[in-house]
Amino acid sequence: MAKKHEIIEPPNKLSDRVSKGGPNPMDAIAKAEAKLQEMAKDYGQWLENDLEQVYAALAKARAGGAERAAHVKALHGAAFNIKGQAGTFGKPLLSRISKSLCKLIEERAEFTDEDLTVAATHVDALKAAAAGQYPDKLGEQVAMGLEGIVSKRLTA
Amino acid sequence: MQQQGYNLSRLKILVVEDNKNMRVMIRAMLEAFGVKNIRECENTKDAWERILEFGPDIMILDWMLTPEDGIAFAKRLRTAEDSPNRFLPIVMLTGYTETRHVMVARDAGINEYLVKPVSGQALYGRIIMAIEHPRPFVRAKGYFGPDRRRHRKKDYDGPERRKPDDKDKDD
Repeated sequence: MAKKHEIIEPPNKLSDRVSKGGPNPMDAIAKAEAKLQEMAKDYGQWLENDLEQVYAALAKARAGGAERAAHVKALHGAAFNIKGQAGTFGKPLLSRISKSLCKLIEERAEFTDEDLTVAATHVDALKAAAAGQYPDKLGEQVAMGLEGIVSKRLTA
Repeated sequence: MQQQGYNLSRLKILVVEDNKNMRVMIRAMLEAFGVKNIRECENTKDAWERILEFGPDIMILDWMLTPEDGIAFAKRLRTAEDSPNRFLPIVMLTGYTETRHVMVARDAGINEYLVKPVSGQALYGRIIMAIEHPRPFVRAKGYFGPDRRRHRKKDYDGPERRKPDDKDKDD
């Protein structure tokens, strides 16, 4: 049978650009992690800004109207940022709650009033987690509870 | 991991990410690795032009972008006749963690997939992977991009197992 594909060896520009003799990889990684640690002090403000966007998008989505889908998309965008960044700065619970909210939005073709209620519960939990109101075990329980609610909605 | 690392100072990396804070984080990590030539842009329109002007060696690409998402952009870069670099190694950096997303990215021609929240170790690892394990490209019906089989046997003389009518995949 004739082959239906062609293999191409592209020019390897990367090998021309790099050479041996750089810093020890573990040192380079440690330096990067140290830079992230330095940024952690700024993350509180970043998070506050993302949360403001979350609150605003949820409020607009709840206000109803034809633009609900756009506001839900904005809610997803802000929650997605928290999901992607909070874990890097030692706030995995915020990442986890945001992940559950993002999953709900991604999987629902039409976002109903009931979905908005579930989203609002997530947003309340984000607010409480950001304020440090969940000790470890309680945070775990809250996250599991939210994931369970989303799972139920998606299989209903 | 080897003790002597790479000198990455001549490497040119383009970061395409719509979130400013994320761009700051990625730049800080790249600089810590010794990368000196870094350009950033926040949308795919600028990214296309920046690839032309800057000629990056690696692109770190977010998924959620405008005016097209990172997946559509990667496909366009791989297949458009006027593409500035169809072979550009792409590291996709995204908050999408599910296997189906990884598969979509793979089928769009992404070289490496990196999930947020990102760490220094994970980012360094993907860059080194792109350097040490460049993959051949495959042109097949409905696909042009890095070989989706990571471990190709060069002396394989067995039967051709690609489905002749497979519209979307080459493996």
